[in-house]
Amino acid sequence: MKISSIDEKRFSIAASLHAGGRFSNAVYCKGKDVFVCNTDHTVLIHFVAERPFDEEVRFFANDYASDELEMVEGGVVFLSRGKTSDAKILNRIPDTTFSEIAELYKKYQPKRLTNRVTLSRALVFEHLQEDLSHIEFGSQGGSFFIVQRDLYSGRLIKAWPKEGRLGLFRTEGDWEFRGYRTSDVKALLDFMESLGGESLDMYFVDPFYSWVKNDKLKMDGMVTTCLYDELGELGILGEDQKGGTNHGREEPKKRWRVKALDSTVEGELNNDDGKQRIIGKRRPLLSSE
Amino acid sequence: MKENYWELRELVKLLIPRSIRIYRQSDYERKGLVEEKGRKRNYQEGDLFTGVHARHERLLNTEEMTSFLEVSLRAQGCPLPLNIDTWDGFICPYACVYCFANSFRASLYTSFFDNSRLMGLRHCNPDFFKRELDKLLIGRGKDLPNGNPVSRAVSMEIPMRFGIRFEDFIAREGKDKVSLELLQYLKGAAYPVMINTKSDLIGREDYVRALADNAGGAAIHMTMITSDEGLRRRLESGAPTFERRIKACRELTQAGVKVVARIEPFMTFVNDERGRVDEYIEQLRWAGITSLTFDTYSYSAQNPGIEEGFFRAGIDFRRMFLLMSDCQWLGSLLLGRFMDYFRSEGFRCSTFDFGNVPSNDDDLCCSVDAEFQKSGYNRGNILSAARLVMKGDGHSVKWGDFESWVEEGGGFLSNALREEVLRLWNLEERNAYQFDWIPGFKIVGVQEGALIWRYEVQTEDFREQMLDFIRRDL
Repeated sequence: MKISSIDEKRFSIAASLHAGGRFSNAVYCKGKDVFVCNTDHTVLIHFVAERPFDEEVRFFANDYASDELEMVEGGVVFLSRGKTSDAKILNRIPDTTFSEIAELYKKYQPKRLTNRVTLSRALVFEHLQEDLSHIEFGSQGGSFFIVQRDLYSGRLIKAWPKEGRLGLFRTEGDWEFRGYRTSDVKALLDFMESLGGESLDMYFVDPFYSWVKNDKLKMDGMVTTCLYDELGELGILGEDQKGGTNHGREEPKKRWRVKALDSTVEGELNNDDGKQRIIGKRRPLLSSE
Repeated sequence: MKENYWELRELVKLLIPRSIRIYRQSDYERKGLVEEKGRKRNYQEGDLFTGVHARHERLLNTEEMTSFLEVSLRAQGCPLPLNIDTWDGFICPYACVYCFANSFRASLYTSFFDNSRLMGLRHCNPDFFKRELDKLLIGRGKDLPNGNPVSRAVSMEIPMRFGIRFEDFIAREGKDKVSLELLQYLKGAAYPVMINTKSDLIGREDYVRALADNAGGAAIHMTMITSDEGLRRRLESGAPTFERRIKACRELTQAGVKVVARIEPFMTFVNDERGRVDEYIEQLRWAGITSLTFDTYSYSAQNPGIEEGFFRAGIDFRRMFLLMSDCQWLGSLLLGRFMDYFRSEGFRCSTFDFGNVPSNDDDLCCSVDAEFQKSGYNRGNILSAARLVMKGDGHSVKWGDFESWVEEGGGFLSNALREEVLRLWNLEERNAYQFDWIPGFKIVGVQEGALIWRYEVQTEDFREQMLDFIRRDL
């Protein structure tokens, strides 16, 4: 099977991200759908294929060797054409099947896209460092903020988009800060940029994950959140909402809830002492839920 | 006529008086003296497959270490850079105030592992290190141009050196005998061994035999920075006493093992009181020690926690650090005169301090020429390059001359190392391990992108010139 040049570019990007060591991932294709899922299961990207795949194809991105490939019993074979010789390369394939990934995609597809922010690499990384492990996104007083903390030095960065720039923000009420792996956010933005995009819409639909989308690139997907004790602790910067103004809005109700397959975790943000902490409890899902 | 060390010390007293701190840094009281990087607490990642946040921890094996052999990151300046260690721990039980290894380990372990604080002492599994060494020793004496740096170092029979990353002869070793098993293994293989330690355990009969009977050669660096027990207690509260260490040295020398006394750090106004130094010299003679190695205080140890430790021990860290590290030329000059005092008492002295490289009595700054110069060492380092330039006897020495000499001795341990040494040779790094720190070294040309050097014995010592300049204003 020979794949289209645009899809090949997508696979090459996945392979280069894998080779970079920060986003090891596998590719799953069938019909018009292409999925890229990282091996940590924190990011799932979906594309509409340029040319439909007649049969299921799946491989680890770093094995990708050419646009000519063939699925065989328990493996995938790439036909690599060189200057002096050609070669067939047999690789192992991921255990997870295309249908399992497609099911996952379907399961997390939000019914309604809410709390949108338009992200670009410049917006996210102008003030932040790519080598710090996490980024936090949150909404306070009707404004969108990006936070990064360096546990070693104690440095805390809180950034926000300038008016009229990328980072258009449309929210239906504030939400607490959510943590994401910097490498995941970076991989999503790298993908988008490598395919010629300028921005990526991120929808903060659920405390467990966010949805991402770029219609022009026919790309969407999701990225999961991370939890840790320091999350949302902003110290004095927590009170400073864009230079101290909350734009006249009422202080939002700070409650959160994470729905999962087997349980629900819920809690509230306690900021009585001027610091924000997440206090939560887990309870099993009721069958009616 | 140059003044001797004691006269120079009097002059320096006037130049850099004591400083007094009237407050304690309470921050360190609370946080502890060790610098920790920290990791996110109770960290969990969302997993799309399970639909829940799952705890993610990176756990250090707190019971056993596997990384026991490495080529030092400082191999560009070290003739004996093959480090071997059997023991490891979050905190070294010797608790030496001046040591920055605890701080280094703490920042390393706490930034990569979630359970590092649970780690007490851990050691390498003897079955494991024997298996690994069996494989490595196959390459011994063979030409391995494409081997990794460790394989190449073993192929050149560079001595394996204990005690660089951790103390390998702590009290528990006396019962567990892990280092002993490794010493016996190396004795069986007749592979050369060097040990840096502060432990008297090394003087126990079984350890002495494992070293004395090693046909490959063995040498000990016994760090003893003072014979003053009061000062020792303040600076090295968990380490064996000077008396125990010197007795261990005697056991070793009587069995024919070379022991070098190590005064590192040498700290003017701290461990240089004349009466104590003379007593120390007498003790060295009693123990049969004829060589010493020295160094000033490491610049890497400029650490607030270490400063606080000195403060608690009642020692003026800032004065000492200014003298021995910050003002390197003066520290170097003081060290040179201090070494001269030991020389006048009949000892061989060497140092890694570049200002004093020309006066080193041995080519290997560890003072172990007789033991290891023939067995094999890393010629491809900047200190050995300096000694080669000195042997040019007033003639210019090119990089190519040095390269050929290194190749004769087995070559560079890696291409990366060769590049690092070349950068030092060309003064491209700003550190104290370059030729421009060595009195008498002159640039006489450039060839194929590399400087050409010459050593001129009669040249004015820039350190003396600096001192004269300051002295004029007194």
